[in-house]
Amino acid sequence: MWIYEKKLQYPVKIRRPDPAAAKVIITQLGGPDGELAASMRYLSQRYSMPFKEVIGVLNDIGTEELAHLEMISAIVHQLTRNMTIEQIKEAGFDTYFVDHTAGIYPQAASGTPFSAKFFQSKGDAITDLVEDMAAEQKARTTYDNILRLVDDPDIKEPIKFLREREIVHFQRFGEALRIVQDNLDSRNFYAFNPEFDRPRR
Amino acid sequence: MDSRKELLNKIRELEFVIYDTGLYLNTHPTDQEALRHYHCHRELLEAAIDEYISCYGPLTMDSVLSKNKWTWIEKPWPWELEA
Repeated sequence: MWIYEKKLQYPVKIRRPDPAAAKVIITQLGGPDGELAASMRYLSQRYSMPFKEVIGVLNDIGTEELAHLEMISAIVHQLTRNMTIEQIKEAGFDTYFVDHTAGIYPQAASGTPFSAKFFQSKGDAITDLVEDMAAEQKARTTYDNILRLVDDPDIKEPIKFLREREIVHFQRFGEALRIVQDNLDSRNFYAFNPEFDRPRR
Repeated sequence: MDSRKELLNKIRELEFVIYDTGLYLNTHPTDQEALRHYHCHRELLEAAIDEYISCYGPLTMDSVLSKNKWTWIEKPWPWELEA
């Protein structure tokens, strides 16, 4: 189970509201490579994973992604404080505003709502971990693109922290994949799915 | 039931009392009786968790007491039948 800790993993203090920035950053909340999909992906995959080290990686990164979800939400919230209708229109934030006002809703930058279609839980250790590694790189690219689009250091600092975590997670998933492969037949990794097949006596 | 599971159930009960009382206190933040109820169970929970982690291993990542082995990943994980 989870217990809520009343703090962010890394502080978010954005002095200047910027709905145009919020409009793109929200993609890391509910977009295809966002933190919600990441968290649900890893937390869903851990149940049938047979290796304790890999369970640990999925459990703990899945949990950390929940903290990242909260950071992204805090960033979007602070970027959309005290907006005037003129600022909303000027920033092109009106399409979000009409449906959600200044509330936080998990969607991609395009406006597409969050969907479980953004991730898999395949029940095959190699398949899932390869998806996880790709997912971390896709999120890293998204953060790099966000850093290309924003100038405010108040926004950039927490985004740079989140970007860095994607790289650390990629490393840990790579190690987890190695652990899985070390437990399989090196002549044919695919002969046996350790999440389903049972060894012969 | 083994003593580990028994202690885990005690922690579960105490945590639930604290959580459920807290939920009530969110909407009744000045209820003195509820506050007393909360505080007396908080102390019991702290003691029960200390006993559990020293006897059976960590419940959270920051409660690993072993200095020479990373016991956080030891089975059973909570969703396993053996847990």
